[in-house]
Amino acid sequence: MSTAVADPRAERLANLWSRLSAQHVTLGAGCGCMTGGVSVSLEDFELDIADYLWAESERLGETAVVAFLLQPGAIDQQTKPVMHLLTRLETGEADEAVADWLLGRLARTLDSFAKLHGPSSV
Amino acid sequence: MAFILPALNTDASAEPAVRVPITVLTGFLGSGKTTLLNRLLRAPDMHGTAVVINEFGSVGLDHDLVDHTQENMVLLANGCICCTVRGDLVEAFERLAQSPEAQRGELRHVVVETTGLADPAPILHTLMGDPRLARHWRLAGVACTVDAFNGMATLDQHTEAVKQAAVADRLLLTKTDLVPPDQLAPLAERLRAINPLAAITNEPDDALQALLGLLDRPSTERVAVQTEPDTTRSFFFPVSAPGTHDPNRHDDHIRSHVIVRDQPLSRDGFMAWLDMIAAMRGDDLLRVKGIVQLADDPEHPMVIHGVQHLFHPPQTLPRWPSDDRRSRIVFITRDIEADDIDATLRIFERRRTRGTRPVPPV
Repeated sequence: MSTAVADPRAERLANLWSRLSAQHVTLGAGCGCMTGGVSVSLEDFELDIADYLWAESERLGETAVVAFLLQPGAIDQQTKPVMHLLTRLETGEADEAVADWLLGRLARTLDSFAKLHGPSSV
Repeated sequence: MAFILPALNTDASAEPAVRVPITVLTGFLGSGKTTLLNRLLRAPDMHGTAVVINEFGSVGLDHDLVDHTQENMVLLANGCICCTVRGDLVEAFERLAQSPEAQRGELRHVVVETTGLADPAPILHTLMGDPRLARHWRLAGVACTVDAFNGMATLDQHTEAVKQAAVADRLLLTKTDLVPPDQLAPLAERLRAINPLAAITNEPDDALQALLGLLDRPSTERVAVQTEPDTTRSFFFPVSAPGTHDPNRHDDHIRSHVIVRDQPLSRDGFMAWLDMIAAMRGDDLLRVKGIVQLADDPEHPMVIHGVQHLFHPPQTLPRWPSDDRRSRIVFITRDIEADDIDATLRIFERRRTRGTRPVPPV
């Protein structure tokens, strides 16, 4: 196994997600049927993000990434899987190739969430 | 003033057989809305057309300029377009619904002429989403007049004019006789950049025909979302596919994006994503139209249609309108990057469709 190194990219994303995931959005209020209006935080989408990473890594045959993602247990059994993943990456648990793969996708995803949410989140 | 509203009957079988189509006519001050409206009202076979006028200023004038041979004319009170007009609009349509013509089933169309200074979104929100209107009325389309002589400067100086163009189904260039063709082309190009979904007309008769066409447009007009240039189809302008984005289309902070997916999408995931986008950036989603293939019902495409925060309840078509079964969603946005739309959709589009839970490695 290659040497595990703490990654400043993970630290940036962990800080970003820490701020962003606490933000609330009101879902369903935009439907013309006028029946919506459920307030959720972006943290509620952690499972979707982690699930996406798992599916992509499986689809592309990234077995080391799959193993890293599932090491704490099944995705849907993990608590705050994205924050936990970022913490593990920040402390250098992953080897370089796995970290690069995950952090590249996490950066694209979380930065996009932040930009959509507005300037206060970026 | 208080109004007692008729109770809504939630029994679907009690719904009126036909909901009267509403066409919104918008356009900046002096762009020729009233002139076009008068031509429309003088056209043959326009009986049963009501006009609702929203004016700006303490003394209404526009309604005096509209041909009064039309009996069903309602003038909206002046006031803030965001609040007063919404209530007035609902009241106006409830009065129309009680009119003898409507009661006899003779009311065939309604044209709403907005004030030239209006951001049309609140009016569209009311027409699309107010449950008091949904029983009798439906939004058929939006036409926007653009003064060919002053249009470029108006778009430069007034964000309302840009929004009016962005939400339109038809862009009707007026006063084109005052402008040489080489001066017209840049304006048409700019309008295409703001709203590639809208057809543009630049002849007076074409504008009238385009407006007439909107009056009878079914509410579930086929969503012609193109991703490749197709010169054989002139009704919609082609939209750049991902990766072929035209960098020149960045004027006015208004951008158009098309998101294409070859694989069916998770219904729950897609709806959650759409909700999230609308909740976070609804102000900047000027127009969203799309046809979507869902994993749980791939044979029946879902059509979405939204203006800013508000979306029509999605409609399911009985069949695909062509052999192209890809999901195609066009966004006309302000200051939203296509990459951010795309990256967030990727998170949601396969939600819960990946089979059994994995076994953690030993």
